[in-house]
Amino acid sequence: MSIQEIPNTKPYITVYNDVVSNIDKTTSQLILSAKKKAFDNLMDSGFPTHRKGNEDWKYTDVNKILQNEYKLFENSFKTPNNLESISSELPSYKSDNYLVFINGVFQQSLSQTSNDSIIIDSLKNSLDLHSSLITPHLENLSNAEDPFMNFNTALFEDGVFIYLPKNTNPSKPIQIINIEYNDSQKNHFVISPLILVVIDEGSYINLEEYCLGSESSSNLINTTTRFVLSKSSKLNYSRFQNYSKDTNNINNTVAILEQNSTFNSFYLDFGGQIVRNNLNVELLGEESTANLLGLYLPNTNQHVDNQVIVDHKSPYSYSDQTYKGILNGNAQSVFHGSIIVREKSIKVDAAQEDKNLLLSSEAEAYTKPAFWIYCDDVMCKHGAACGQIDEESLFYLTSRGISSTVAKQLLVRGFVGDVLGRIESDTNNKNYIEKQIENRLDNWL
Amino acid sequence: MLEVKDLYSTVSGKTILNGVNLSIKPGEVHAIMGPNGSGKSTLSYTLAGKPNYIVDSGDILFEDQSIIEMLPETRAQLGIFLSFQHPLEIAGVRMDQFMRSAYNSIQKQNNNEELDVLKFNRLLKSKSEELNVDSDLIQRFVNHGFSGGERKKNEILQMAVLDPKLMILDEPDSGLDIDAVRSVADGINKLRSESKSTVIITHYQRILNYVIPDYVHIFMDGKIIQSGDKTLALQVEEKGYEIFN
Ligand SMILES: Nc1ncnc2c1ncn2[C@@H]1O[C@H](COP(=O)(O)OP(=O)(O)OP(=O)(O)O)[C@@H](O)[C@H]1O
Ligand SMILES: [Mg+2]
Repeated sequence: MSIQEIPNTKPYITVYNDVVSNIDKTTSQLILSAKKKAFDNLMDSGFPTHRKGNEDWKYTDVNKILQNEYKLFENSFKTPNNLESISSELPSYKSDNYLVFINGVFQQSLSQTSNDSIIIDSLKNSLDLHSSLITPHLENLSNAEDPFMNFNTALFEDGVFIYLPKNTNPSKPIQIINIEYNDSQKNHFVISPLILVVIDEGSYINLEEYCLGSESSSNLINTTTRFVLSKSSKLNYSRFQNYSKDTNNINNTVAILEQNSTFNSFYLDFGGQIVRNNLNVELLGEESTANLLGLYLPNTNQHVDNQVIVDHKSPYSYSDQTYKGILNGNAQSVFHGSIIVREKSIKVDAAQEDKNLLLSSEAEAYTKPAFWIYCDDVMCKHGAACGQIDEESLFYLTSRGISSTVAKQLLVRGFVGDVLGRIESDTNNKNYIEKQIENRLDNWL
Repeated sequence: MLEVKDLYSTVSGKTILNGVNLSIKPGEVHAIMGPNGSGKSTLSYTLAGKPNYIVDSGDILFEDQSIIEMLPETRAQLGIFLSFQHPLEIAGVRMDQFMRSAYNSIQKQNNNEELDVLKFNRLLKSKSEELNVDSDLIQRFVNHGFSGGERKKNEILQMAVLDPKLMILDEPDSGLDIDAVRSVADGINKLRSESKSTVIITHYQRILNYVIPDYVHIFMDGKIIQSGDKTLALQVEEKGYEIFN
């Protein structure tokens, strides 16, 4: 197939060439070849389309994401002295490890990292200093089939690298702050952060990511995140996303879980126009555990699509997906959760649930579970529900003297209460999340 | 206290109440008995202001004020309480939070002191001990996994906390064992006073042995067709509703 026939990819040939020419000549050949391979893959496959038979993108229109021609962000603006001037939603508590990115560009002067045995740095810095730790993972990424993942591998310039050696347990969380910033003219940028987190045996961290938008931004933020959890390690990951309402965000996350490791994730989606979270969890080792939580609260003209694939590749592995949506206005949500249990994966315990509360009659939620079970000796549970605030419950509460506004708040908070109660993260992060949700619901109810 | 005047009401386009007349003075206990589907719960919902229960004609006066245009929360704030025939389970909302929110809304509306979590929990705990309600229940989600009997007791507990002027109890005794009936009746009696009124809807005269009514009304086809004293309940128990046709 010649390049011209493939929709949408053509504008990115120049972008790719720009990225490659920006790369430091001393950079390892491996990185360049990984990028080239990923880009060639993308050119071959094209971006996914709405076409028939493409179940994975059935409910999310890629053409709408790609109708803008995105350019590379040119780091020409002056670094602000303080972040508060460009974002009002920064968490009020700052950890020892705090990495700031503006439009994907690392802000060394605004960041801080504690220098113990752990490596926490921008990817660019790390590629110079620790390339041997990183390159094996890049090779892995360039073998991906997913077009947006290849798009990220081809275009990434920076991101985060975290490496925890054996048996390290930093007491403070690691915070990643991603801020969108648009100084004036209406530009559409493609921002391609790559986040690599490698946790060695017996280590444990809390990782928090804050994705914050600005009024006038209208970008494509196409992120790849790769978590590697070695034997008996644990990662608590909490991600808050509130990008600009005109920004499209695609999130390609892969988590690899070795024996006895635990991955607890929480995704909270507030912002973005079209948001797509691909979360692929591979339970490679026995007794590995994945607790995957998600809340999404899209408003009018927002579309949030969570695609979760949990692949039980080993016996005695456990997974739970609990996602809930509160949809306002004409918001749309998609939840497509898959559970795969491989042939020899006995005693697997896998559960999945997606529930949606529609605050308006125009909101739409699609839930599509999928199971591929190739083993008999397993336990699988699944649940889905979608509805508006229950009028009978509302009457019960108001008949006790509670105003209907407060009654609705109680019911809606009750709806998400179980998910909030199960988040594994620092108390400050939990408080931040609760506050954000409270504010949003106060505006809606 | 309560004057129901020639009340007609409609649910989903179907007229259920066909001219109810009822007058209740402070301190009185009125029992309402009637066959299934005759409209007793509809009357209680209409009094409490359930949306979609539309008053076509007639009026409801509470302390000389018409309440038919009022929201359910406003009626509750004035002092009307409905104990539900089928209390609902409210997922994710804890009993103690729910009750504090209700208590404080009512206090606020009546310019009384609102209570902080600590003080309120003390109140809730003492009421639940008084009524022999398991203190576990008040920390659980509202009616979540409660047995039928526990749900009914929980209605009485809510009523005790909110301390209404008019208690409307829709079958507080159905589905209860004999000990539970007695404890629900005790709960109701504790709340009674000279200034408060009670309406008990029931199928059985059993509970009326404990909460002794001043009047018994026979409710059929959406209206009260006969009223009398407590002996009327014994007649119903013995002969059924046939005799009133
Ligand atoms: N939402 C509704 N839509 C249509 N019909 C209704 C509705 N609610 C009640 N009804 C009808 O109104 C009539 C009266 O019902 P109601 O529940 O008031 O009876 P009840 O006297 O309380 O009966 P029970 O003794 O069984 O509790 C019944 O025929 C019932 O089917
Ligand atoms: Mg009834």
